[in-house]
Amino acid sequence: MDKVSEPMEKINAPSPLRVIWRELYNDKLALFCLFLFIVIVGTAFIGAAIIDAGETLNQNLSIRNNPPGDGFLLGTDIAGRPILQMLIIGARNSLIISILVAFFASVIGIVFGLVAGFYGGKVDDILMRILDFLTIIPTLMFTIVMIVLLEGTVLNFGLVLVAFAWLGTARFMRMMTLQQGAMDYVKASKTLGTRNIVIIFREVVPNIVPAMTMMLTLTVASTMGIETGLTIIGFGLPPDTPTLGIMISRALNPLAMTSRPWQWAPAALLILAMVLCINYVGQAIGRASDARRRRV
Amino acid sequence: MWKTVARRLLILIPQLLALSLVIFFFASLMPGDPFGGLMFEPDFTLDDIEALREALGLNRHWVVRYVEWLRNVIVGDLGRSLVHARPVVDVIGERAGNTLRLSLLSLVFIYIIAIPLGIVAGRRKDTFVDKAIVFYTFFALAMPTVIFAVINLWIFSFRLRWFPFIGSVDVRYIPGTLDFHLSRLRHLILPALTAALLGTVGIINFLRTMIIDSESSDFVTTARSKGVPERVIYNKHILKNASLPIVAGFGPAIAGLIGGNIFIEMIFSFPGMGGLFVSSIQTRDWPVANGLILIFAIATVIGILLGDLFMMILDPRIRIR
Repeated sequence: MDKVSEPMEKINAPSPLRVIWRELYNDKLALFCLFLFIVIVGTAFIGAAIIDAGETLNQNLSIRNNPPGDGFLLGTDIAGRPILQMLIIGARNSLIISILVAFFASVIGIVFGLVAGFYGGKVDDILMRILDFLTIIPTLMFTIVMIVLLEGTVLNFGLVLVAFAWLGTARFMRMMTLQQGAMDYVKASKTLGTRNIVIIFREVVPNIVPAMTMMLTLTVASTMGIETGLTIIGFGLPPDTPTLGIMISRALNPLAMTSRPWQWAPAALLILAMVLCINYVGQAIGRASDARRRRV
Repeated sequence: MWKTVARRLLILIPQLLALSLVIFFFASLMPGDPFGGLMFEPDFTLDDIEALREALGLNRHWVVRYVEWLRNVIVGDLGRSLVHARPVVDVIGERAGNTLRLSLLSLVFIYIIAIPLGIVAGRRKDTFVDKAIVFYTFFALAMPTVIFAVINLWIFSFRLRWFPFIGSVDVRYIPGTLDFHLSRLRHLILPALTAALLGTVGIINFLRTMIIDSESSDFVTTARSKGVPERVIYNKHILKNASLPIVAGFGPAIAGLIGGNIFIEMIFSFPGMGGLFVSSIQTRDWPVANGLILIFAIATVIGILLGDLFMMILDPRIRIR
């Protein structure tokens, strides 16, 4: 009798962040990507804080198109701006924009998905019709229209990107929430009369933290790609906010592409390195979100 | 089944109405029109420009213009381009062929690349080949389109000089000749391959998972125990099952390609609808931009619908629902 009345030993489930970390730790390539990404972020932010942006962006025609070496580690661009410093400032700007856009888009997408998936029924119907409508919009074209319309500031550019970046996250989070909602622990809580909001945030959310983190990282990477793309085709940030895309777009003509690769290749490779690293880490986190796919 | 199709088409109408209304509203907020710059022309006075705006109805409220536009769209008239001074349908029609050819060739490449890779990855699960293919799909998924296009442009057009880097056909050839068509194909290959190499992920992953799952399914075990040769099991049993969704993926894929080629067309200076859209936005030629957005939206919805329809025709389980 004594034995039964004794409370069962509680087995603590590992916290979501611990699960993610364990998955990353056991995937050496993911760990390397994380390390490389942190190094890039660190260099970009610390470097950009040290560099005198005004001086870097000043045009100096006497030193235009200098090849790497000879006073300029990575050479200079068509207006005599040093490539290395431009890379650092550009990477910082690209990172800030991508991370902020991805953060706000993820918050919207997660809330939308949680509400639609958890409440179901009418709420879900209405929200899904909204989502369906937004999905048939040719996103890229609409983004371009809105950027032209709201011409000018970095804030507007970011808002336009946020406007479409949350759709995928919303759909995915709804699916995850639906899965969780059908599980016994949620039904048990409902039977006990726990309030919905408590079930969502105390019980459902911790189970889908890895999935949320994955969507966040993937959105950072895709935003970076779209920001670069838009900048290259001429609908990017205002020119006084240098990003990596601007460096590529300035060198996107046959002459510069063939004879002065140092003006665009480093920027392209840097974007590539960042996007690939973020994606790889994101996928490892995604594996952590699904117990069957975990490697440990 | 036809009920479902009819219902889907009916939903489409309010969706497109809402979409075009949004576009028109945004366009009306836009400052400027293509005629602002004319005031510096010696042949135009400010009154002439005003008369031009009045004649084209640009001074009316956007709701009035929307209703008129809508009335015309229903009979297939998208209005007149403000910049090219020709019907929008003609302006778009000139470019549509290029984009369509590009999308179709991309699609052909996607199937040629993805199907063998998906099958090999599934059959040789966890071998080196499989790991290499999975790694490739990771790259294809993560790679930003513009960066991949710029890198390909540099390597294959500028370094190796295999493909032209601008246009859709060599100007020296006379339309209709064999050389003309070959040159056209040569201009298509690099952009199409760039789009295709990034677009294979869905099919490869699907085939790989399908084959791996089938390995442990009852119908394969039964076939094996009957002594059906391995080759027949794959070709007749597993792949036959997997072929339906792959064929059905055609619809959404082509819609995605037509709509998603803006970056590729811009980088390769390919004169298609994506490039036309960008230039029409830059010159504030709203009738053309509106028309293109509408066409892309319709293409997307019809693509998705076609895919679903295919599945319904081919798979009785879906039809019953």
